[in-house]
This record gives sequence, C-alpha cells and structure tokens, in this order.
Amino acid sequence: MVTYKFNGAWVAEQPLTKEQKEAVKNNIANRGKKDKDGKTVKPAKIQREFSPADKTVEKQLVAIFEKHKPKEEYSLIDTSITIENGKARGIINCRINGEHRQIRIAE
Amino acid sequence: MAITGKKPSEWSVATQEAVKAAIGINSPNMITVKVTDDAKENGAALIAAYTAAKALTPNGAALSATNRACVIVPPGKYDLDCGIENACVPLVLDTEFVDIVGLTSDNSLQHVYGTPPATNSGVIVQTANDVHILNLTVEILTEVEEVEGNYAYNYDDTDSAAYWPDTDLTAVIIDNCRFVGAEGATGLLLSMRLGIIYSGTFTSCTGGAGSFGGAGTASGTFTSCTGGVGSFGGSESGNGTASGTFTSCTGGNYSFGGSGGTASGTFTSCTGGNYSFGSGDGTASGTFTFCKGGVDSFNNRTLAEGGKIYACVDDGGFIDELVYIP
Repeated sequence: MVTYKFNGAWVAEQPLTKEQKEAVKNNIANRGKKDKDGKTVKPAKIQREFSPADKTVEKQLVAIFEKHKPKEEYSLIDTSITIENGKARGIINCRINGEHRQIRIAE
Repeated sequence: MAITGKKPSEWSVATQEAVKAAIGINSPNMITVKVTDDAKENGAALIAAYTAAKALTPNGAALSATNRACVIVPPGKYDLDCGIENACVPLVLDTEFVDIVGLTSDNSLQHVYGTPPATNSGVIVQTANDVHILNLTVEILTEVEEVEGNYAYNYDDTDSAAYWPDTDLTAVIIDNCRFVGAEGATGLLLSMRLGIIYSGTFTSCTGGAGSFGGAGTASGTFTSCTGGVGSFGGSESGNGTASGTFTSCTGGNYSFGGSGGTASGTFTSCTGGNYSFGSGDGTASGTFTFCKGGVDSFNNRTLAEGGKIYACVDDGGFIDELVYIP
C-alpha cells in the first residue's frame, strides 16, 4: 500500500527520519514549557520529504485523477490516492466557484 | 472462551459451539452481541459476532455498499484482553460493508477497551474502507515503557492507538464515537492513529492529542468533532495538513494545520488553541468563517493565496474580513 499526493507532481511521503522523530519527541516533551525569559518554547519544525512516483505509477495516478476530477473549472486544494492490491482509493478536495467540493475515489 | 485470532474454520468444535452460544439475536442482516456481566466474555462475544456478521447475506444477496450487515453492540463493557492468557484480541474490521453499531446513543455505555501491542495495532484496527462505526467509546490501556525519562513512543504511524485505521479510508463513516488514549505525557498510547490521512466522514466524535490526522492529513469531512493538542491535521512539528471541511469542530493548541502546517480546507465555526489554523509560518490558504484561534493563529493574519477570513477571532481581536491579496 502506497499513498501518493500531488504537489505539482505525484509524490509519496517518506517516513520520518531518526532526527525528525527526535525533534517530534522533544516538541512533545516541551509542550507548555517556558524558556528562561518566560516565553513558550518554540517547537522545532520538521519538513516532510517526498519521493516522486515512478513513471508507470504516475501514469496510473494521472488516469485515476482525470477520471474523477470535476468537469467544471476547479481550483485544487489537496488530493491523495492510495493504491493497495491494485485498487485505488482517495479524495480530491477542490473549490468550484469558491465552494468546497470533495470527491471520494473508491475503485 | 478464548479467541486466538485463528479463522473460524480453524476453531475447535468446542470453540465454535462457544461462539454460537455467545452470539445473541441474529437475523440475515445483523448479529447482536450477547452480553453477560463478564467483560472478557463480552469482548470475545464481540469478536465472534463480527466474525459471524462477515458471513451474512442481507436480503439474500452479497454484501455491498447498499446491502450492509451490522453488528449491534448493546450497552456493556467489552474487554478485548480476552485471548489466551488475557492477550488482547483487537477488533479487526477487515470486511467491507460490515458496520459496528452501538445500541444506545450514549456512547459511554458501549465501552470497548483493551491493551493491544504497543506498535502496529489498536483496540479497533480497520483495514476495510466502507465501514460505519457508531455510538462507541473505544479506549486503549496499553502503556509504553519509560526509557531514560522519556516514554518510548515512535511518534509516528506505527504507534498503536485506540482507533488504528489504514490510511486514506475515504468511505468510512464514524458517528458519535469517543476514542480515548493518553495525551502523550503518561505513557499511555494515543486515541487515534497518528501521521496518516483521515479522508472519511466523522460526526460528533471525540479524540485526544494528535487525533483526526494529527501529524498527518485531515482531508475528510469533520462535523461537531473535538480533538486535543495537534489534532485535525495539526502538530507542533508543523508536518500536518487540514484540507477537508470542518464545521463546529474544536481542537487544542497547534490544531487545524497549526504550527507550520497547512490549513487549506474550509473551516466554519471552529475553535483552535494557540498556533492553530496554519500558524507559525505555515500556510493559511483556506476559508475561515466564524472561527476562533489563540495566539498566532491564522498565521498571524498572513494569508496565502486563496485564503479568506470572515468574522473570526484571534488573540488580536475580531477580524471582520480579510482576503489574500497578491
């Protein structure tokens, strides 16, 4: 099972690295704590990493998206497609004339 | 009665008979769990009832999106630590179109709990996509070890949780359920699986810290739901996305794509804590109407392309209208 998102290209999210997990752990441990100046400790930010879908999968993802995307002019908010055992599921969040529309994919 | 995780066809005759005896009122469309005053017996009966429901043919036809089977869960305590030597037997929802429905609308009366392994498991594990879950309280009682002053969480999608679904289950509908875990400070595991995509439909549900797509993505439909710190695609680490629709939902600090995350969905009458709604140099590109955030929320009123705020409140006061201008 692999989940792909679209951020200009179809990509798969990578697991957190050891360093990123350590940052998350410290952030949780520091919840609500103040620094020596009495200010809330700012949590460390982590940047998720992505790897591009290979060409064959990309073709499949494009075909699925094209099949389900709105017929009207739309502005894409976010989309995910998960492929498991050859079946696809996912969601398209978009706006059409300013209205939020959700299209669920279950093939 | 001990259910070992084997398939029904592999059960001993004695176990099969015990399962039959444990199952309550049956029909072609539903199985009602037979409840006793022994929580472990009830847990085993719940597992058995689900197994039996998977084989139903409602209305004489195969299970489908419009021909569903359901397990009716009457009020009772359901201890899933009902396996051999009290091992936890998670309720694994692995079959499409088989629903789990608590009998009363007071979800506290249908209380399902257990101590699954600390990783890659849950009290309820869900792999099937099109499943409805209603009127349950689901609680995880597993504690992780303390190592050198820190609890040994993985802080990712491998940590077990009360509700542990596969990612991106778009067809799931969960209504009036309460998922109970720790808030990340006691060693108990979390209420809902971290770091995955929640793209289903959730109504009147409650979770704790990191619930509803915490450190992941909340891209589904959320109505009248309540989460804790870093919920609804939030996380203090800034790796969450809230791109779905959120109506009358309440999160804690760092919720709704907070603290460096992305709040790109549609938020109506929602309340977040400090650093919520795409704050902390995150991306606030959604539509926010009648929402309330705390310190630094709405990315300090710095909207990204597409962002709109109508009649919202942050720590700086009332925001009548604010629209992204290139």
